[in-house]
Amino acid sequence: MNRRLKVLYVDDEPDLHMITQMALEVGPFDVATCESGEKGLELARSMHPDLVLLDVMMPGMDGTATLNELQTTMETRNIPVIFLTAKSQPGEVAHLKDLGAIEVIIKPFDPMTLARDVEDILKAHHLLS
Amino acid sequence: MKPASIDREQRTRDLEDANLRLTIQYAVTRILSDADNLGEAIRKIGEFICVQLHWDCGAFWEFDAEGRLRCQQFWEVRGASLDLFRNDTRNRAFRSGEGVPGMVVMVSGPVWIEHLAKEAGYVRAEAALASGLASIMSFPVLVHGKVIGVLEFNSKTPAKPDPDRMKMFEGIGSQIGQFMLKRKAEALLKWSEDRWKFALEGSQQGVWDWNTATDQVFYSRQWKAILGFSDEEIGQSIYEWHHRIHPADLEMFQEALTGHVTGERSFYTAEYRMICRDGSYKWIFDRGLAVERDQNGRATRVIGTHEDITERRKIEQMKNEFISTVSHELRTPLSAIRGSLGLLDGGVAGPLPEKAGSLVHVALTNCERLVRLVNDILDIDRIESGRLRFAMKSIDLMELIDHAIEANRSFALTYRVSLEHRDRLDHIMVRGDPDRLHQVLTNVISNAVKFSPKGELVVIRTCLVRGKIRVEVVDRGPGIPEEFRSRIFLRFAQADSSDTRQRGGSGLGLAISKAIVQAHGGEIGFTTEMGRGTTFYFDLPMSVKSGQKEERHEQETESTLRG
Repeated sequence: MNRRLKVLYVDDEPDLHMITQMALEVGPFDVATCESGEKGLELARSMHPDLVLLDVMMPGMDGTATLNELQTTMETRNIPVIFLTAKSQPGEVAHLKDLGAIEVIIKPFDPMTLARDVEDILKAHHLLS
Repeated sequence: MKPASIDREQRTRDLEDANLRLTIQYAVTRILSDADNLGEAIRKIGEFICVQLHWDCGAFWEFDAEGRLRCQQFWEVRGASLDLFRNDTRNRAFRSGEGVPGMVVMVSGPVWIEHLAKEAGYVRAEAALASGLASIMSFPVLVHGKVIGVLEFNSKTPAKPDPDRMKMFEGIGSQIGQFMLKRKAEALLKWSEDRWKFALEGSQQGVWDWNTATDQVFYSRQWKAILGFSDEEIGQSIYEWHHRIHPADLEMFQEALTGHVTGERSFYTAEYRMICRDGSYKWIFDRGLAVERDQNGRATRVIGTHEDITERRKIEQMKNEFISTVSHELRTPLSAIRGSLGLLDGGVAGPLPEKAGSLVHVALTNCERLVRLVNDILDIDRIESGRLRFAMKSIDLMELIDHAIEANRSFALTYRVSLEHRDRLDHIMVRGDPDRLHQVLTNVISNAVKFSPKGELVVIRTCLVRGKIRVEVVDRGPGIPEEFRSRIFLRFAQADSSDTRQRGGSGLGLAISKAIVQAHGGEIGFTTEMGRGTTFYFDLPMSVKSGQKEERHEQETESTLRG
């Protein structure tokens, strides 16, 4: 059995924190949450998560800026990032992937399959066996 | 035996007459070649004939807008005093078969009446006889055998029909016809020149005309005006155009234009920004066509138009942003609702009392419906604005169908309907966007499920039809009512409005499916029988990568069809 993975979830909508947390903790994930890109960077450096889930549209530092910071910071540059976004236009999704996210999950997502979906994504990128 | 002197007199007269005919024909040719306009030419011809042949007056008839002949010209020899007849003639309008002009049209040949007084059907008899006219001779102006006008001559002295003269008049008639035809062609040319001039000066489009050998470009006044320049401020160099293009758009522009110049592309269009006189940028929609090419196929002259689409681009961008925002604003609260309900329904927060569980389930399914509606509306918007993009790849169709069946199985179970995949054609590859084709399958399958009676089966099967792969979804539902069949692929089409609520669809699914299938080079359709069921199908072109086995399948199907 795999160990439980540490996930950092960054989203400015606190209502979604609990939902995502509960949905992921059905699977082999422990979830920490915060509501801004700035705090997300701080936490990423201190807790070394196995995965970051990033919202895109956030006040202040948005998702793409946060991803850029994560990728250019030594301690965090190898952490895989999945965007969790309400932006669903195909062009937008492709753009987000081009930035270096391993996958884009569209909101609203199915909370009962989220954990499995994330596992599948990690397996597809050989980040989980 | 006739006396020899009479014979000689006759011959002399014949000779004189032939001379006269030649003189007239020569004069007609001269008048036509010198003429500036038709009316003037005909009048001159008419007057000349009157004088030469001692006729007193003549008229030229042309068709009006209602197809009636009206007198356009009337001429008379000096001192003929034919006011009464002229006024009558001017006020007449004849249809084919009516009056002498109408008769000429009907027979498409000359009409010659020696004694007007004896002709019972002659319409203008009263005025003619009061004016002292005795004979009328009339002939058509012909173009390709069609009468386009009628010439007539009237005489106070009775004139006997003469076959030689009739032949001469027929010749003159077609000569004038040719002249009119030529004039019409010239008028058309002038008209198209006027149109060109309008396009150049009057319309909102700027015109460019590029000589690729010299790189000289003619720019129309409007072309320059779009960029805020006056006519004198821009010369004829190609740089006046190219160096004003936004650096970021230059490469794309060059590529598109060069492609057309070399002949690789059959047309040229591009959208790019150009810098204006005041330093601002305008979006230009440019399209052009090579009008001349050298023996190697390289364009030597290209003409095109510039259209200022800055406003349009702005509005499009605003609309896109609006839709993107609305979509985001709707999705964020929907995510929280759907997430909460989904977790409750899934028992993650612990077991719920039975009634609470049912209520949560109702809330969840309706929330999912709302999500679908938001997605469908976005899709329809993309389809209609042509922004629906497809990520095409080679797909194993059976895998795709299996996926779609799995994804819809639990939905089908809520209707107590089972799904079955039959007649598999394994290893068939199609080129398509897997997500979009999945969407089509889900739409069609969920429709079939919704309309199936409880306990029934929905069958999904594949076959080959005329070299294309057909996917069929067969239900045993009530069938599609006749009056609804023609509207079924339209937006928000539902057999009756209560159906929307009952069946829980957005009313957009089939419209979206049709657009997706068409974008894959396929077709969607259905067959239905009331009380028996409906089969929805869509055909997709096969990917070239499909193996030998499928080729054989195809041949089998083809031969079955032939047999």
